[in-house]
Amino acid sequence: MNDEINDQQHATQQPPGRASRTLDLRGVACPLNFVRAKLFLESLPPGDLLEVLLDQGEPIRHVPTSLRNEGHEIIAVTPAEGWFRLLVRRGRLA
Amino acid sequence: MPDPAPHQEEAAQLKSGGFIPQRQPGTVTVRCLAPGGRLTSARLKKIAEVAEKYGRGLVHLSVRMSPEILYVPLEKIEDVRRELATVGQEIATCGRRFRVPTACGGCEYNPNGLVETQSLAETINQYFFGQPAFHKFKVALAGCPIDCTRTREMDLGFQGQAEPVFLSERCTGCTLCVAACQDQALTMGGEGFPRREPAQCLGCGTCIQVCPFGAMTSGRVGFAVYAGGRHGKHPHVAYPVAQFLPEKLVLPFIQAVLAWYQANGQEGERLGAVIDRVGLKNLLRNLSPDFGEYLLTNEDVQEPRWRKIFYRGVAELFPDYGRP
Repeated sequence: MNDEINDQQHATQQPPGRASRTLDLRGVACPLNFVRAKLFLESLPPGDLLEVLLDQGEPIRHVPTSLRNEGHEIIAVTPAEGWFRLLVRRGRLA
Repeated sequence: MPDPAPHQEEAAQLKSGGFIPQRQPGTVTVRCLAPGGRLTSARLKKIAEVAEKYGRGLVHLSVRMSPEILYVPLEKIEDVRRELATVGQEIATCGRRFRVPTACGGCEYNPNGLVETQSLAETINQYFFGQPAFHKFKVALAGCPIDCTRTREMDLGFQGQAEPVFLSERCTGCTLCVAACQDQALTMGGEGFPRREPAQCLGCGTCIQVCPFGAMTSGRVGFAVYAGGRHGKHPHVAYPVAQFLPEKLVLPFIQAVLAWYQANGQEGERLGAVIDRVGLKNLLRNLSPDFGEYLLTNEDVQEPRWRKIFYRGVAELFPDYGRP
């Protein structure tokens, strides 16, 4: 999927001590936002932190729970102006 | 000019047994029983087989989730019944009887579902299906307030609900629950924790579902109950009569309402008409000894959540609930 490859190339680097990358999924409709977040997380080593930006409404209602069900850990959720910043720890998946 | 229908009495007898005379003389539609609209593949295959063998290979899915085999010759209905019975597929019913309960998926497989609906539909069907009454009696179960099964149009509708319980020690103040609530029932309080307004809360469980930290958990889970609804030529919206009714009390509740209906109704009257004629408070007083703690009062139904759940505008026509 082209989006997936683009995510891996372009997800912005963060300063050390914070999430390794930010994945901006604002403007991305459900379930594509979840799918992209899931695939990107799977490409990271277990334990890595990822920051995911999500719109309010449907995205923020569904994506965190779905990622948690995938086995990842939600570390923090921070509201912003009409969107949310999600900090996720890549889980030790089966 | 359409062909004349069979003699009225004959038609009534056939219909009572789930064989509906069609416009085409000597032909019936066979209504198959499927509580909650659930079928095994074995039954589905047999229905298809029977439709091809005796009908025209045509099946219609009724509004009440019954597969109906079309164009079956009258003289074949016993053969059809026998063949369907080989896979446990029974015939449904029509007329003035307790009808097949409809139900959504419920919590069995739907992530939004708050309560079991399918197994309950099956049990309700076993206890009450086919019981004669003053008129048709329709029951529907919904797993949550999204209410796909239109519980407010039923003689008795049962709609799953969950009461959120907040555990502050787990809360990070992320505001996800506040953002997720579509009923303005949650706001951020002074301490950085969410505050819930019960009078606005539908018990839909969305805040419980979205909380990533387990701070919003599920307290009481049960059914909101609606009584006296009907659709058709003379629609009547059901009145909310109870909340958080536990699953184990659903069958006794239906039993009690049916008994009241039998004692107070007249031939040809739907439950809603009896309630309007005799008074809702009469029904509620009758239910009070066994179900009192779950029944709604006049004060309860003034809350925004009941007026919001209730069709807008129709809420102005709430009758007297008896208890303030």
